[in-house]
Amino acid sequence: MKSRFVKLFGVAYGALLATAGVVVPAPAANINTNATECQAQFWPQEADIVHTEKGISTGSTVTASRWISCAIPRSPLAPTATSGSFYIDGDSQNGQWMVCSLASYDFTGTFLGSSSFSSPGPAFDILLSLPAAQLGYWAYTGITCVLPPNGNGTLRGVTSLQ
Amino acid sequence: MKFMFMRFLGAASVVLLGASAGAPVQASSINTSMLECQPLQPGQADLRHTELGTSTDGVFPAPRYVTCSVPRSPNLGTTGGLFYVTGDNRDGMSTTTCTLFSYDYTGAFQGSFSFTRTAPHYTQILVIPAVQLGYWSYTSLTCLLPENGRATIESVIAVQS
Repeated sequence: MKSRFVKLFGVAYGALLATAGVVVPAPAANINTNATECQAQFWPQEADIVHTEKGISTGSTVTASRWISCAIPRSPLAPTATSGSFYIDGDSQNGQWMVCSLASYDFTGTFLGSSSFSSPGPAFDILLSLPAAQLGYWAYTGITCVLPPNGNGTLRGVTSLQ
Repeated sequence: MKFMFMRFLGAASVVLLGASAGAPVQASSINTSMLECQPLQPGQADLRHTELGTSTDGVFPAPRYVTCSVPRSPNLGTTGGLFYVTGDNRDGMSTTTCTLFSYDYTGAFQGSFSFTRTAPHYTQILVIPAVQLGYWSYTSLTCLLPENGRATIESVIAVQS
């Protein structure tokens, strides 16, 4: 009886050790994305856009606003989350404003929702949120901004929060 | 005896499952293709973007600066950031120079790290101290690519630790 107990315990212990060795899935984390990857939305305005290591703006001699679009990498929300949030960081100078709209699309291309803001001051750090229903597991997010002319606004980056 | 075995097994399970729950979380990295790189100077349409990455155009006779976004997740704890940068120098006769920048979300400069490589294929490791890579920092890579498509900047992996 004793030997049977030891054998049984050995099998159970081995199974538990194997389970303990299973890799724990990585939790979703914030993703900070520099805005230098943004693109001019309308051809042939790419030459009016300045990309730097700090972000994106219009050129100092460009006298009109320009539209840009940027991909926002994100991880799926936790199953219990009721919304997803994003920080948008940038600057507006000389009394100029920047207007941005963050949009979410399903993998099928179906529009799920959007949220917008106008930059309130020289340096902005805006929190935008979308309800979980508009941020499906497979949804893609992007942001479109209107950059002020003459390099008077810089979009620095977007952080998708988890 | 059977009852005793069950009790013993239950206790062992609790101990082991507790240990499992406290196991270190697997690092999660972000792999980004550098085909999204942009010219540093406006109006320079002489770059080539392919599924491999970004290079100057094959018939363009001057080097070009490009800037590339490097998505990252905040590091756990107080460890620094680890980045792998990969690329090619065609025929091993060309040179690629790159700088990885870190800026706080306020736009404040936090740090930069440069390298120059001439190898036909390279993987450059960059380690950024935690103090220069804040929780909310944005990172980007600026490279000087040689003329005539003689080098390609391919990818950056932001490793999490």
